[in-house]
Amino acid sequence: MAVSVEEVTGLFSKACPAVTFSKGDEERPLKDLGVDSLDMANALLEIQERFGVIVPDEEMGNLQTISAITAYVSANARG
Amino acid sequence: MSVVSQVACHVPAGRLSNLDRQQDLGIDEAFIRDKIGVRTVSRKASDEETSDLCVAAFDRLTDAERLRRDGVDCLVVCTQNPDGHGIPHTSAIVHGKLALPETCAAFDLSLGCSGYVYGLWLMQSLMAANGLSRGLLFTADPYSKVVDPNDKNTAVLFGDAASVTLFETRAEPVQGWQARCFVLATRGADGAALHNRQGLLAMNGRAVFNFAATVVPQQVTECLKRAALRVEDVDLFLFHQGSKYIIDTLQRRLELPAQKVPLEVLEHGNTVSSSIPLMLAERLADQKLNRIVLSGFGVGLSWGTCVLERVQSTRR
Repeated sequence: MAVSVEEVTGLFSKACPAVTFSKGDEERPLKDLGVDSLDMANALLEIQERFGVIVPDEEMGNLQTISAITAYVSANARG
Repeated sequence: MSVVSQVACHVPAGRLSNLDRQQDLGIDEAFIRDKIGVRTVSRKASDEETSDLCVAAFDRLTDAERLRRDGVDCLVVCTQNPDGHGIPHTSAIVHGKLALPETCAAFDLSLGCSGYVYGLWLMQSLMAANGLSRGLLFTADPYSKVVDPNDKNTAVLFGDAASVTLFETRAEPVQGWQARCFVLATRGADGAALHNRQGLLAMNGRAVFNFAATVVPQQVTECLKRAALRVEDVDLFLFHQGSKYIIDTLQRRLELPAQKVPLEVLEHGNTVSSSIPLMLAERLADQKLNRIVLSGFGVGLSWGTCVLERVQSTRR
């Protein structure tokens, strides 16, 4: 199922109201954008509830940008 | 009918500052202030036992002397960090320290952050089924006994405290509170999210957050449905004070007005099963309050929600 960067960014915006996401930020490390561990947990929960995709803790090291997370969710979401 | 007539609490004087430890733990002031919400965590003295915290809370009851003299029918201590290694049970030790009569039933209740709601359910049921006149429910779970000071997940969160709730059944009209519409749940299969198997507390923060953020709103909604209440009918929602972040998340997910969702962790932290009674103690006397939803969740995994309402009891 194709998931867009805009959709995932929207969920991060909802989960992290104190963080501003701009065009082009999808390739920047989330930590550099001000997303902390609690924000990340919240955003991943929003993603899980929207797309039914659980990102395991062991994958977290590979998923440090919105682009990477979008690709993972697209590959694992059922249409 | 038995009612909650009083709640008293004890928070030890000792404090550890999170700001002083931020560099050692690799966290910044903004995270402490805006996410954790805990400036200092309370700490009991090194020679202070769980039972001592209970006695200190008891001594804050306005009827403490009368209760020592007249006795109580049952005494329950909710703790997972008992005196010593747990034998004898902490409630028996408290019974001895308070010099209560031998006719009192005393036992421990092993629950964490859901413990106060479960404790209300237990005490109301016990007293009603057995025609008891007076009962005491203590919460005292000093996590300082098991927190790893180098673990930033837990060292900045948990504080020590104790509470006591007095339940009374009287023949004459009595002002008090009674809980109803309990919704209780357990998910033991995910218990590894919060444990102390190696003697030190270990918490998977993400798993605990996901659990609380999903099940608590569902359970609160179910409780309101069973009670035939709307959010507008409830004066306050007292959630277990896990952290500022989880309280903010629950408020947002349930779409609750901010003024109905108190946050009180700043100076003492997450006091486990004492976090709800700490918020209740002063509020029970507020005549503007008549209906409060209580919701506790955590180790187990275990969670429970009920409605606490002001009542006037006129008969046994």
